[in-house]
Amino acid sequence: MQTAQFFRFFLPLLLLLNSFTGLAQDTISIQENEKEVIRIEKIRVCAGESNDPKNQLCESNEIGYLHANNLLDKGNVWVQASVFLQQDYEDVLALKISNLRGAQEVYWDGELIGENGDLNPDSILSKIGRFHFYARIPHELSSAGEHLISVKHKQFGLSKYNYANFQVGNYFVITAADKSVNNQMILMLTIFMTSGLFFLIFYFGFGRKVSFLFLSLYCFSYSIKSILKPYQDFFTPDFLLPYLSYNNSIFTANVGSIFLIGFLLWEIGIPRKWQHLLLFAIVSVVSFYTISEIHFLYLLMLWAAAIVAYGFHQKVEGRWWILTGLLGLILFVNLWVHQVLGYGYFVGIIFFIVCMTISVGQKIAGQIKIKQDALLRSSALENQLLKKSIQPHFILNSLASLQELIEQTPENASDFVNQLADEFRLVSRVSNQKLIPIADEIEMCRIHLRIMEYRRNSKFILKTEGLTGEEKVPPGIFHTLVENGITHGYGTKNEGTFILSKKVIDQEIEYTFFNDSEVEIESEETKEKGTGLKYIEARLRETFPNKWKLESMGLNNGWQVKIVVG
Amino acid sequence: MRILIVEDEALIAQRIERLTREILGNELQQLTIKPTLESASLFTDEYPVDLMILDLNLNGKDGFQLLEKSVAQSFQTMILSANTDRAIEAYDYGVLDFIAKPFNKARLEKAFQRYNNQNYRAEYPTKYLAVKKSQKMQLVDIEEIVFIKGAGNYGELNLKDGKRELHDKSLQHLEKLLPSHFERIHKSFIVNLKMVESISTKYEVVLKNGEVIPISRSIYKRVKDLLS
Repeated sequence: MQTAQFFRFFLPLLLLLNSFTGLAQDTISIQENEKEVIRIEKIRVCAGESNDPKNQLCESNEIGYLHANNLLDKGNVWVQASVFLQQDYEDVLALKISNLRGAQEVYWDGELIGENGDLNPDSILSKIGRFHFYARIPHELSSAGEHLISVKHKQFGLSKYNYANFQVGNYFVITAADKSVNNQMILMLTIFMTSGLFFLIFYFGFGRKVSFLFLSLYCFSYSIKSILKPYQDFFTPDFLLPYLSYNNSIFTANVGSIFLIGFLLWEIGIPRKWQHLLLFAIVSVVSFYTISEIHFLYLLMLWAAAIVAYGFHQKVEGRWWILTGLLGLILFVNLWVHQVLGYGYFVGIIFFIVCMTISVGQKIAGQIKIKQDALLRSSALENQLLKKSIQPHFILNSLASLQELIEQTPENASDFVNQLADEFRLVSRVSNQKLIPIADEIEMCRIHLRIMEYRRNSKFILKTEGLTGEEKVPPGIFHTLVENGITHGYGTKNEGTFILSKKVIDQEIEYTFFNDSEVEIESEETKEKGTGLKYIEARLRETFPNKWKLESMGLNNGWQVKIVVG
Repeated sequence: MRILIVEDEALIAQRIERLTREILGNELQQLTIKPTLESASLFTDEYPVDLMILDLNLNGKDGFQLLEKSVAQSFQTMILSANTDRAIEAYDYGVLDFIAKPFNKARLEKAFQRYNNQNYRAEYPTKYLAVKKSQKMQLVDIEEIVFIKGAGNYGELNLKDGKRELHDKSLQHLEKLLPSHFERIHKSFIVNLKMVESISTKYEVVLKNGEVIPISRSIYKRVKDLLS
């Protein structure tokens, strides 16, 4: 069983990790191929819109990097670079231009070979180009020797990491890496979206537990983050292009971290959750402007660890899975920081989410079980009450009495049958309810006493004190006490008095049920008395969970049961 | 006949009494009603009784413990109960008859006939005989019995292991409760036919434990036939 559980929980994790290892190996093989690709390091930038891209426009090494902030509002600039091809290329050659945030026209030896976005747009948002794009180099221009790349560029918006990156090489080799990155991103997006939806359904399906909502939002914020990463715009729809930026992506992660902390706060149940969450939200936003992404990640993990530590201190349910998830997250983020695992950050987050899924699943399974047990208990109680009025011992003895009535006093026989019918009808009507008017309960008791008066040839009286008649009680509790009293307390007596009284003390209602039976505390009958009391306890537990008390004691003149409900 | 009725439901007790009086008429010497087994046993300690009609709620262990006590007595016991599903178990303890509730006059009449008919055997023979030990009851498995010797109103149970136990019932009462391989071979002896080694021509049976028991001339031939 232990082993089976181990596999049930860890197999999905292992499979997930395996698929990531696969992706990582894929990445490595692509990197091997990319060695054939020529990377152009020296890039020159200069102003001058109307110049001819065939000419060398800028001085060598004038500017090594594009500083976006300098380019903004400068209109069109020229970005140029030279490339030396060692040989004539037989295969399809392509130029890849990355990390230019804006619109471009690309010239190869003065020939226009590609466009990205629109240099003269009506609206910036609709005409921004992709972060990286490919231009195919015509075969006749890919001969051995020096070639000139001229890019007419217009900067749209700021970008923290805005430096141009030109690469020339086999078209399929160059695009393979991007395809691989995109596949990985689509996989992660799918995982985050699915988990997000999963927790959202849990949130609506299982009592709107706030922590599920936070976990769902956390997943969704990571799906957004994985879309916004600018290096993976290969399949990004045009309308999203303006929003792609490392800054936006990182900011989404900072917002996501608020949801993560929210989840932990609610799941672990820390006092003053909202204040705590607000504090972290402020820290998170301030961190975005003040410290690096990695430093914030460490801060987040430290913060989360502190909350989890509190959870361990309080022995919160599901703490082990949360700890496992967090340790996994810390481990994978470290692997990512130390450049061991390229997607460590995402893998860590997915690992965490998987752990939470298992934890949440277990909790929900537990809740469902509790609910089912409650249902079962309810129907067991209903059956128990019904059974009392149809149990063979009761019916057959009543029938034996009825025989005697028929033969001796037929007029009583008819009334006796009526009483039996009334009791049966009343018990069947109330048995499936949780609370019934006390009037019904008292009626049930009186009918039962009437039946027993015939059978025992006795006189039984039920008195009530302090009742308004508006009270509601679980069905059958006083009826059971009446039955118990008669079965065990009136063997030789042929007169009996039952008193039901009510007192209100503070918020609590105290019912006292007394009968003047002959008490035999040590007899074997006390055990049987126990089964009746067990029924009453089960009813009280169901209807007034944790807010009830039952005391049963022999007095020198009878038996008394006290029931207190909150 | 002296009858004790143990019934806590007044109406049913009244019914048993009425029907018993109608059936037995002058045969009835004494009829007492007690609501509980406790009050009944106080009564039987002081007054002789021939037959006890016992209403027993056989649900649960307690009912059988009470039954054990009453079947150890000298009188015969009939059960009157709603719990018919436990009837066979009740017979195991040595009750003469089991009357299911509700019941009519004819059924009660039959029960009294069974009591009076010396040749009647309980529908299911007993499996145990309860023996009163100091304070508690001991159940003797009837297959452990080699023979029973009548001693006044008692039966002396002679067991395979050589022990002897006294049971409060007379041979006449015991005969009706025991299975058919227990045969009354003599005014003072009931023998377990499974334990008979041989039967001699001197009107004696030799038992497997070596004991020799006399056999009545009147049933000598029948026993011989049974054994061969």
